[in-house]
Amino acid sequence: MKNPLEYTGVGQPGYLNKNCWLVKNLNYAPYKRCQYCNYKFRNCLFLHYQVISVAIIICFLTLFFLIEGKISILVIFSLFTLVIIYGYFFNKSTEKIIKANFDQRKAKIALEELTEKLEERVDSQTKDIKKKAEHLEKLLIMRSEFLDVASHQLRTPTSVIKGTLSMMKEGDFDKLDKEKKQEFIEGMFQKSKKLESIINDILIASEMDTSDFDIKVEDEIELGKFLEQEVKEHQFDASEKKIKLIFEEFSTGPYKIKGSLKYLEQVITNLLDNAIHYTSKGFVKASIRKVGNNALIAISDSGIGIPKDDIARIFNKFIRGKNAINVYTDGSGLGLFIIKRVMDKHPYSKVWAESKEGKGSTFFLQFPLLG
Amino acid sequence: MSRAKILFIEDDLDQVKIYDFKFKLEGLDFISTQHGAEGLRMAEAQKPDLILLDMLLFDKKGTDILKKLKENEHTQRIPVIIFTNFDKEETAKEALALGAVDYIIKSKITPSDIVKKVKEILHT
Repeated sequence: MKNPLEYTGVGQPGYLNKNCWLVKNLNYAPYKRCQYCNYKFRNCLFLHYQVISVAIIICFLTLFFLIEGKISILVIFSLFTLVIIYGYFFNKSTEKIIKANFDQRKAKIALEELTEKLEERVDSQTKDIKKKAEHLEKLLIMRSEFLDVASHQLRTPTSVIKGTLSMMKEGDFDKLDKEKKQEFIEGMFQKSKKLESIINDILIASEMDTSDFDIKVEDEIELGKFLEQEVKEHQFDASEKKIKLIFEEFSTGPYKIKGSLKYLEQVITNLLDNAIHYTSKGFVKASIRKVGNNALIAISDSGIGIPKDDIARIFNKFIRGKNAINVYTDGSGLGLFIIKRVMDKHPYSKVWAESKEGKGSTFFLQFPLLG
Repeated sequence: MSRAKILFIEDDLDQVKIYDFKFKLEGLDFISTQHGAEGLRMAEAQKPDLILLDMLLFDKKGTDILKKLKENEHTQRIPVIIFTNFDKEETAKEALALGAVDYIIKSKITPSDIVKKVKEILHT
């Protein structure tokens, strides 16, 4: 007969738990089955009562047939008592062994369960750490790519300003006519503005990363005139690249909204800058229309477009479309991130993009109209 | 002796203006283009004595252009200086391995310095 205490595992034959019949009550049946593990036991107590009964019968038969006299009866009763005492202690000790084994088993199972739980926890935490490490690694690569491009963008205007100034210093400038001199000064001025805008983007993006970043949305803006003005200010950049920059109003104004003038200037500037920079030929169009109770601005271009896979994450920091990584841009790489954060701070407003790689992109801005 | 001809493949017009003025002032012929593909055509057709090549162009990567220049038997002997603001060690190593004679960061030097460097290479 197998020792039930050697069996392990819930649902396995011989699985022992605190409700096991064997431990709870030892009764007089010759065999019992554990209600949980269905294991068949021989009952020890029953066995001993069998032994005792046989012993009594033997004693009485001996007394009756062979021996006569009081001393013999005393001896027989003493023998009988000894057998009972032996049976009692045998049962007690068996019970103790079973209980001790049970406690040991219980402790072992508890330890095994604890070990299993710990292993599961360690496994899950290891997976979690691995996932975080992979994410950090990706972030570091993106940051490094961003820094490579950002340092290029910062150096480009610097090299123009430095180059022009060095020629002035060395006296080369004196050999230029007035018109050419003016052209160089204008170039230097534009590059200093560009440098300022890149530095601003970097500073604003860092500010936006802090938890207490907030925008005061309290300027009343006529969006149509505001957009038209922004388009005018970008005409120079577009004409330099021989790109048509068009403003269109598809419905009659006014388009009054509440917003932050300072930050919305940045939004429109970033979108127009991007459209111009990623378009080598064709057009950039800024339009406004009313859609229900909203004003909808669309800035579209005939540029390189955004690959389908990149469009969902294009508003994340440090992200450029795969087709834009190796091409020259004048920006910080933070423009769309800034736009998204600004639009998120304008109640009931949103920004989204639609694009076809190689055909062009359209960025939409939606604001609730006042009144 | 005819004047040495420099081809500048660069997409930033303000930079082109500065170097165009400086190189011509120093007695060198100077031609330029903003597009990589056009640069490859000009290199083959006009046989410049030296090419100044930017790294991040609108249509192509500088290293891709360099590779094509070195693969073409008509342009492979033309010395190419990578003249860029893209300061990355791996890219510099890659460009030098592809056959560039130098990798120069624009913001670290002045127009006079690059003219001097070009003249040195042309005389060797």
